Amino acid sequence: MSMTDREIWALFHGVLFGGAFLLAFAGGLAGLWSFRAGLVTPEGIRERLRRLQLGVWSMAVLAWLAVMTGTYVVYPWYRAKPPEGTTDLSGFPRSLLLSDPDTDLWHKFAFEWKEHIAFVTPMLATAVALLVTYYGTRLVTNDRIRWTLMGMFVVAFSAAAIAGLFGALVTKVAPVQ
Amino acid sequence: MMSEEKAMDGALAAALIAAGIGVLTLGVVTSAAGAALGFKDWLKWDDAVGPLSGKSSLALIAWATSWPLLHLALFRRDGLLPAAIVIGVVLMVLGMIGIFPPVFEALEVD
Repeated sequence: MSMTDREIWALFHGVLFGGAFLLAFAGGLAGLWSFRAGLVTPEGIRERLRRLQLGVWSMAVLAWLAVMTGTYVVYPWYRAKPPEGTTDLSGFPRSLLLSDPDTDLWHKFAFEWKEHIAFVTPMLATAVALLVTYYGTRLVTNDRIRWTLMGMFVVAFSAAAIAGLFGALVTKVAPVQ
Repeated sequence: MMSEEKAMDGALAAALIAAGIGVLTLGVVTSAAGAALGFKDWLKWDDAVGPLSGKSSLALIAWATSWPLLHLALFRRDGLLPAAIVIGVVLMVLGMIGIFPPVFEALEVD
């Protein structure tokens, strides 16, 4: 059992960073939803706030790590152009997909959408993390602000889910190896 | 200690609108790159990454510069949230349309 350097980087990008962000979403959303008067005692607010801040900041960092390793480490391998006369395109995923009319939409639609929409996630996740820190305990009694943050969080997750789903599907058809 | 303090929504409004500006910039630049080959070449800020490097960097620059400016302008104000939600959502939807492949590919010149 062995993995190439490229496969290891793809694993970090898609599973460890991107996958962890997606998995953490439910916890982050539940933390924001339940951070309200009536569900937390005055004594519990400080402890819950620290946990919430740790959670949303961790997710923001994961989002940046996923997007930056994807864009600047894995993507150049995906889009590398094969040398003139190359017949085996297995090491050049983008060219491999575009070489066949039955697979070219995996690049033209799935990957093109994934590579752009992914950038929505770190912007919104960072905004949520900074705003949770900025508002702090005031979130408990300000439902409109808390609900808006949850909305931003859901959009960040949705963008990450689209990017993650298409990334996984494209990798299945034409892996970076 | 539970805080009963009313929170001004200006900071949230600023963050929402700035995120919208970032997404809109990504959409506009992505569509423009398809329509103008010279612009697409200029966006290759990193040779290995290609135009995506310039597109994403411009979007992040727009987001990261507009946010503190909007924050300074709005953070002491309240009652901005309904308008900010409308503005932020409209900007984000327009940006999302710009990065949707059937849209920017329809604008591509050969």
